[in-house]
Amino acid sequence: MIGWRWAAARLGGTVLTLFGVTAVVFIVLRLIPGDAITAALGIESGALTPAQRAALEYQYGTDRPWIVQFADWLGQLLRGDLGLSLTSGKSVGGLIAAALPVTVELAVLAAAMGTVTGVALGVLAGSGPGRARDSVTQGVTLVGLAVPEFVLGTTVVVLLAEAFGYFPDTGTFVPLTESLAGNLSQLMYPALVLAVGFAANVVRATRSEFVEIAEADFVRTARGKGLPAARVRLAHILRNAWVPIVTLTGIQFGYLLGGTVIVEHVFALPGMGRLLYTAISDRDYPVVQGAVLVIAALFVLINLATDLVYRALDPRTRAS
Amino acid sequence: MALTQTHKRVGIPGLAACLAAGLALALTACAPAGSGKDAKGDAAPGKFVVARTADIDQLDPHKATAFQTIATLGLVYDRLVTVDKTGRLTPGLAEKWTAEDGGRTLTFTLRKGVTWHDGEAFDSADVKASLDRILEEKTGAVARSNLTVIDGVDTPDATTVKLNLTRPSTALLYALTSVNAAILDEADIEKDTVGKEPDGTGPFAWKSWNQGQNVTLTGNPKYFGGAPAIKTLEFRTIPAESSILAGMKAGAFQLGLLSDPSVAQQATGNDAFRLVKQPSLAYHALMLNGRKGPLEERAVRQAIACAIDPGQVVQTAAYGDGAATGPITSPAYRYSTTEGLPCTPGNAQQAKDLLAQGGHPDGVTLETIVMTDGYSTAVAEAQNVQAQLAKIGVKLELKQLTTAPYVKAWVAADFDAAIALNGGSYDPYLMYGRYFTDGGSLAKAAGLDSPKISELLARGDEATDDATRQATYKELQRELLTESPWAWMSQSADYYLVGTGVEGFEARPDQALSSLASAKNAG
Repeated sequence: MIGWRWAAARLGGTVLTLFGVTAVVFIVLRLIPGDAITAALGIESGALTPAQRAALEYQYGTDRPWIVQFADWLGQLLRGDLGLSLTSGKSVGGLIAAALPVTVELAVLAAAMGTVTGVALGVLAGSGPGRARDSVTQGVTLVGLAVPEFVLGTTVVVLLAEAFGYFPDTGTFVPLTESLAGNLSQLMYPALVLAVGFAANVVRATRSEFVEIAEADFVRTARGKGLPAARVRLAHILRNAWVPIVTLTGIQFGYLLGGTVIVEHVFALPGMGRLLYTAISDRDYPVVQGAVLVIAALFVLINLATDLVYRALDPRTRAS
Repeated sequence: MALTQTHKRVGIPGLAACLAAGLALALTACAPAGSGKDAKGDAAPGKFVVARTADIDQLDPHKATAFQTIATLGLVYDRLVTVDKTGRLTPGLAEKWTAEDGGRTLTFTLRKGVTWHDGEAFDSADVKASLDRILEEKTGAVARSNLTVIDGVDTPDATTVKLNLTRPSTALLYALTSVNAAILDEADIEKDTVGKEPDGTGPFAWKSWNQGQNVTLTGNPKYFGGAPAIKTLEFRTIPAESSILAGMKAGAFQLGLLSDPSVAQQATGNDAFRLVKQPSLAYHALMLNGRKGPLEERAVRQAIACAIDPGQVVQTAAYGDGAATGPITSPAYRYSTTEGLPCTPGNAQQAKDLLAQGGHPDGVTLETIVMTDGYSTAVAEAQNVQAQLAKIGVKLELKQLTTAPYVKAWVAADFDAAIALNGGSYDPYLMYGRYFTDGGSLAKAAGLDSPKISELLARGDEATDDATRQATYKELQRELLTESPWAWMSQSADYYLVGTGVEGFEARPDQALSSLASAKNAG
């Protein structure tokens, strides 16, 4: 059961967290050198007359005091309006609505592949510590952690082109609802690249938990009762190892939502990472603020979901 | 125990193997047989896909500065005058023009029968409204500083436009060839739809923009220069140049635009495309702030210009792609790249002598700004120049900055030296007028006040005959090298990956993609 007090505390914490993130991003964006005019015009901004600069500042809305800009933005936000992009004039809500499904689906696919593969390999390694399969798995895991995403991603793109004469097209993103094959052909490879690092972390967590729990008294008891080894591993050891694995998976998934920028770059996916990166480069304040807010909100929601799963898996946490 | 071991061998590895097999199966199911097409089979007849690293950033041609925006909008909007790849002025929306009153009045005769993409007729009122919009300070138009010589615009009839000028100016005609001087529909200006719904007279009409993904244009069947063979033109944003190369190998694009020499080096020996290297009007230079410290001494600036061997910079930073250049890069004004310098570039002893002559025999230290995210070769160039100058005792303290702080420091002339990639022009006055004339809009960053250079620029701009312009700009180049406000190194190179079946595409020094109007994909 979820206690009302717990729920209220989490909700309050969520609102405070999001407000804090919003305020920090708003301030930091304006403290870093450069503005939308400089970003848009480059050195040409030096050729602007004072009147031209004033007109552009008015157009971008950067001629008003920060506090007024922030209050306006919050007011818009409360009305469900994230404003307009300074560069393209498009609705920030619309830009995020287009980019978010790409990143969420990419993260879900990567997390699913990473978790399944990571748990399987973690169990494989943890069930025979010190044996060849453990050493091989740990070696592979180390490589998975060490190879940067841009290297792995570029290698996959080049191999597909050289070996299959294929380029995963992302000219226009194909939603899952439109075409399963078209959608997967765009997302499978980038998700695979992300899944490698994801799985490597899960393998390490699963293996260490598995090895530790395998030594516990209740496991010895289960073995002593003559239960089949597979049942001991899956029903007794793995079940008790789930809590830290779920926690790690939740945290990694949250990071994926804001950390897919390199893979989106290599595979030309129009997701949140690229939207945010471009907006920061362009000093497109409304887009950055809106995108960060959405990513932060999702991160908080995922943490909440992780806590709920955690409570379901481990009754002791419910009591506390 | 034996039972346990049996289960261990069969159960756990078996599970892992099944999972791995499942994953492989899923991937195999999504992997195509070598189709030579992208996932959506975009090799549709009449469709032409151009891959480039960045998306357009806006839709207003008068405010655009990004290359990709200018190249795209340049296909949608026409200008009064155009320029060919050699720098020769050619008719655009104006089929002819004449200079009167000693060059103080320019009369343009407009083409008849031209229509906007929305079907309305084009006439002189559109030209007047467009030029007035650029000259209006509130617009924030990029080309305004190049058009302020226009004192008024008269439209005696629907096909005649008279520009009254404050002084004769050849550069004005070149300024009018810019996409930043595009002619807009007067009705769009009045309705304030410019920058929202592109509506031009160009070879391609606007269709759609999926921000961050692609821009799609359609061939204009009523284009006055003839209907393009390309019916649908898509500019696709592929942020990584290595991915563009991979896509070209897979036949997913008809044209790929690259700027990174290290990627271009890998683009050889493939049957699916050919690599075209095109020297650009843009140039690499070490800008010196001649209003600060030791750089106020001409001999010190000359010493720096003399110590740098451009060939070494090009070899190190750009794999040899790029020719040594003097200040003027226009193909119409080719002069010696060293005449005027009191030395042979790369000669360390001559450079040391000059340094001593400037009163700094033990060398100088210069804070040098470098843009880390603007173009791929900047840091390598800076490091090579740093190594070359160290030989004569000039120490460069490299300050690596991202675009915004670099531009801020550059505009405020808050640097001793700056590694720069500056855009060029077919017209020398447009290249350097804003840097080295009295009151030039970027004179502060240029770092030098020279009445003689300013006078030469003004004289070249006002000259109405080609022979005078050639002589004047030759003298300008020599004077720029003598004064050495900057050390000019090399012309930039652009790389185009052209699909095997593509015919009619022609790379240009100004990076314009105007030849797509007459290109086709026969593959």
